[in-house]
Amino acid sequence: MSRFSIEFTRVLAVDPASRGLGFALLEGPSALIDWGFHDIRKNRDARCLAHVVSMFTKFKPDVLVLEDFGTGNHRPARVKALADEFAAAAKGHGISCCHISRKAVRSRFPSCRTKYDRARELVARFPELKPWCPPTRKIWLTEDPRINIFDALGLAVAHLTSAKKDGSGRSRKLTP
Amino acid sequence: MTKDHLPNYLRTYRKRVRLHQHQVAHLVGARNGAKISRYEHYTRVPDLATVFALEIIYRTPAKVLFKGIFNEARRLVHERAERAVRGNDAALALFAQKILNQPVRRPAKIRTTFS
Repeated sequence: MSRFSIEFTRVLAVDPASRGLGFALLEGPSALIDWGFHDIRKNRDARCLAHVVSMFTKFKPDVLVLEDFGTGNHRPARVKALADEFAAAAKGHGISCCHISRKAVRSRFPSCRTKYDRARELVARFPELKPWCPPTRKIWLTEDPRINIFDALGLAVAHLTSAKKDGSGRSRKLTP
Repeated sequence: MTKDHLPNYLRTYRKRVRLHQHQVAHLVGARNGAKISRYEHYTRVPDLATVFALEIIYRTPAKVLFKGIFNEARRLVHERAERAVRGNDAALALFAQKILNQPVRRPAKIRTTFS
């Protein structure tokens, strides 16, 4: 190992949604490198997959973090299949894939009742995200796509804090 | 765990100051944002004048903006210095030893806020 090497985990978290995908890239728990929502309307699955693969080649993350779509998770079948494709693509690029359940993310943010509360807490931690923070959704409105950035970031933060707590540098549900 | 930084963090710092690529291009004197996009996608390395311009725009040292390139350059210099220490040139060996004896400082953390 080089005398200059300072190891850190580069984590890419992706949250696929009906209109595209939100993503967040972290280097360690405190350095937010990139974030955004990739809006795709036509040929969504192929273009989402292509975008994620391009991020694999560009950022070379150590871990891909996805939501664990276990029982009781009401996400469309298309989104679940797409997440499986992301995991397969990560495996193809030699990137570990980690699935984190919604419950685990909620447990990392005990003071937050809703995902909008969580977004505000994440903004407090990463102030550069302030312009991306959507207002709390009214019940007659559809969900703002920018909330997917915070969902992805919540997954990444949950993964990094769980890895830190374990002391192993890896969370439990890692594949391969 | 990885130990290699990305070649540059221009995109991160641009997003922190809430500028678009075409706005940064205007400030560095480029015609449009395509050149900035190439820098941010690591397909092109900016010339020295542009590096200084980016340092001024983002108010961040170039070695932080281009941390991956900086670390690689430093690694190569140290490799050559190690070879020079074992070489025949006594004056160069002495200077190379000084380079190798420099304490390794942890690189500054990437700021999470821009003030």
